[in-house]
Amino acid sequence: MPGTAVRTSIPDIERRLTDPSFWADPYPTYDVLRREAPVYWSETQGRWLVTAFDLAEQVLTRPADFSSVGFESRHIARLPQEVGAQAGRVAEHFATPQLVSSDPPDHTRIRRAFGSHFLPRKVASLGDLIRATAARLVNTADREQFDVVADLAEPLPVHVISDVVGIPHEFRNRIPPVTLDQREFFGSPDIVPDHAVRFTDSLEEWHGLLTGWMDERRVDPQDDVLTRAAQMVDEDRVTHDEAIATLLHLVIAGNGTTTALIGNALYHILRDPEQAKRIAEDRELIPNAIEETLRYETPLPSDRRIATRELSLGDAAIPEGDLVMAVLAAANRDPAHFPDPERFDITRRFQDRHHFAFGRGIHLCLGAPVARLEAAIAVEAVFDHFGDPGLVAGFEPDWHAITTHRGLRTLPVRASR
Amino acid sequence: MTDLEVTVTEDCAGTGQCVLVAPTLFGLDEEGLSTVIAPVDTVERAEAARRAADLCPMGAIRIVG
Repeated sequence: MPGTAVRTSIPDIERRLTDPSFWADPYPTYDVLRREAPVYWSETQGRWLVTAFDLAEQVLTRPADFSSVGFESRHIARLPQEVGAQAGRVAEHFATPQLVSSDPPDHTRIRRAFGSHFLPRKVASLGDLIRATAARLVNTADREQFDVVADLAEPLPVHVISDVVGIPHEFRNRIPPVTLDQREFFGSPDIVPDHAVRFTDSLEEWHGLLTGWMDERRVDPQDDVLTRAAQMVDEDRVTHDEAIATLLHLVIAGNGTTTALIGNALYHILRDPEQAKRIAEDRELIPNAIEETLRYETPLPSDRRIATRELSLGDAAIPEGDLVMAVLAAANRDPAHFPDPERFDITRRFQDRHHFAFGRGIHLCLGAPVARLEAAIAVEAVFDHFGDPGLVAGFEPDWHAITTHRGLRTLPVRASR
Repeated sequence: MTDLEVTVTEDCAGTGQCVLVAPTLFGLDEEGLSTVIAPVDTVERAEAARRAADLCPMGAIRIVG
């Protein structure tokens, strides 16, 4: 029952969390939370924010206590009535077990059904194709007006996930809109009925498209996830609805976050001419620079769970049914785990790439190896093209103001000389 | 001593979660997939093996015994 929990109040923190200026630099606010109340109940957000590394790890690695099921239905139930009334199809879609919104044993079953396309060997074999796509995008863009986000970071992941899943070229321009619709529906603080209508229409369209393509693969199998999905349905390992929901999740999750990662990486590398120069001289540094970007400017800032029973976490008592956010972006700057966490250091040493940008435990991002490879290739492509790339003079970052996506709106880049 | 036998099944996808939680027990092979690198001969390793099995996204760690 609400009210029985230990809740710490921190002066001014609710205002800071909801102020539009929060997005310019959320990290000082995360620091206050981590220091004052690493498990903090936010009244205005109606959720617990877990900001310390060790405690966030608890949330991520105890699926029996912190469930992945039920977030979407709860979000929909709490929308203003006029919005929720338009969201029936959305509720139905997300009531179907899929990777991010399921617990074992459903989660394990679905993950096994789709995991084979994300094995290390399989992902490594994508390198040449990704490199060719990145080079084409960079070479055809206007060199004098190059925008990393629009010209490379947005289109590249759309093509890569489409190649993996098997989305035909003529439908790829439908991917950014549905990605945006989902992001706004779940992440925007001021959602209106139009959002719900738009997302419902998008889901409807995608259900039809994916069903049709799966049918095509049944007669003409390819080496893609659509073919695998059709097989898994025919072998009764997943249901048709589970297959559709998982496919669409892969398409959406496979592009928005990677867009953010590419932009964030190039922004932080180019901000520091010293580190940019080192990469210009030694491309081998890029993979670790990507790890550091994942830690320092985490594209998916938080992951959500629901308490399955009354729980204690740190000093807090969390009532059953409460929404609990593992704030990955805050945990990734926890000084108890990362020395000098406020410093972006492309040579930082990670033990087994241990940060939380891709989560931890059973829900660890399925596409993580693809995202890492894609981001490294994108950074390489920009350095190859410009030789000595730099930020445009006077550039001020404009961040998306949304809880589910930490990325830049634009990132103009030019040759320095 | 323990009598546990730990195996990695063909469901392994190389996520590396087991290596993180039990680095003395699991390693990644040249294919990037997990492999058992030491016997489960202490209570600590048995506990680490169970923890790794719980955390594996693919449910690919089997413990018998």
